[in-house]
Amino acid sequence: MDYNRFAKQDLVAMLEIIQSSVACDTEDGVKGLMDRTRCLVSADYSVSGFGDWHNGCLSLIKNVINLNYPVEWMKIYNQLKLYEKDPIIWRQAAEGGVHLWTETYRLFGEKTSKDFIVRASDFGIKHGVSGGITSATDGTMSIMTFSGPKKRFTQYHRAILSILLPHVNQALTRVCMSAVRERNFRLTAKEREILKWMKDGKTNWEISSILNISERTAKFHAHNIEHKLNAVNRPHAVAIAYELGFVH
Amino acid sequence: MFNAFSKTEIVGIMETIEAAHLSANETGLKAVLQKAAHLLEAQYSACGVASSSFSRVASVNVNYPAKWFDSYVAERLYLYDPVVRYQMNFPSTVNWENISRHSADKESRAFFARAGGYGLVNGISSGVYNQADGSLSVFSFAGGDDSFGARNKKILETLSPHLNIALSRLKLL
Repeated sequence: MDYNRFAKQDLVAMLEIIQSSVACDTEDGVKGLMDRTRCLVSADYSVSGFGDWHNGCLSLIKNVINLNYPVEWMKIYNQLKLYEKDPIIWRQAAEGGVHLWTETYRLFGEKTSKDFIVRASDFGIKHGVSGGITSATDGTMSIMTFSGPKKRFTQYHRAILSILLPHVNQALTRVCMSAVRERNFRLTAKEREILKWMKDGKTNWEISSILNISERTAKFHAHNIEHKLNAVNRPHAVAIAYELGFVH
Repeated sequence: MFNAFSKTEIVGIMETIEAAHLSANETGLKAVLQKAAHLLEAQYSACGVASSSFSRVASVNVNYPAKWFDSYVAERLYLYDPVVRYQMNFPSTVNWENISRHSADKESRAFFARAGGYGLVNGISSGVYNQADGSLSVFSFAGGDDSFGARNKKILETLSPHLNIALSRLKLL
């Protein structure tokens, strides 16, 4: 990559995003990275997704981090499984990499559903740039999309996203996989909160004081956490949670 | 944060990060460390990884004086190296000068004196804790006339997670 082609301020912004990606381990953190990337590629909207990938196709969306895509559009998109008709998804699943939508629409030509494009345009989702990474070993795929109503996405923006994608994707994958695992273990929000304090070595009494609950309730939640994580005791539960990435 | 750096320096950092992510073998890692050394204006560079108990240790030498490096490995000097000992407790980017200043014990002084005999006086190291297996990676850069300052520290802090990706890929432990 010829980095000299970029303006210094863009390079500084990219380096800051790369550095923030290294330590990012929360959904809000990923949203922050998406927002900063959105500014750099001159987009209005951004959304990221993570799912199962088989034979060059996205088979199941497991987690979505929506920065600011219109909620109504996201609802329609999910309910009608529009990702099955979305040429951007097709291409990302087949090739990975970073692509401008205009190129992708041209590439798929007649196969592209006009109805899909018109529907998306109604929500201001008309032009954009997307990047995706597939992992054959894990059978996973992640995709990051930046879009807007105006045709202002250029090869310069594509190059910026090409540089940032591997780094932001690491943070996205880390957070999404952690969320998926948490869902599998079905920890409640309260249990996750208590787990974080358990990790800090707090006793049930200390946790009850911090969270303003009774000691008995804290003990009840701690017991449930141990049970759900198949742990034999409290330190074992923290160790398992640490290994699974629930706590950092 | 990076505004104080020149465009050339930022391009150099970005290129080193990219090279670290593309590196797939020891030759690639050495090339990445050389790029980093160039950015840091360091003469020598090397890196290593150790399990938490030091039962397994592996290292990659780019151009540390061979005699010193061989002794370091053969005599297990990493067990006495104040920089490594510091990194085991506080993985971070540190200037050797700061550690030397706070290492008053006889062993540490003897270690620094011996390293100094090979021209390894000024240096900067970065430690990265690997959550997956509890091991520690250390990247060291030494030599040059001036001691390493805040700019060098910032550069190495930025690079070290990426250098660690290149090192981890070798699966040396």
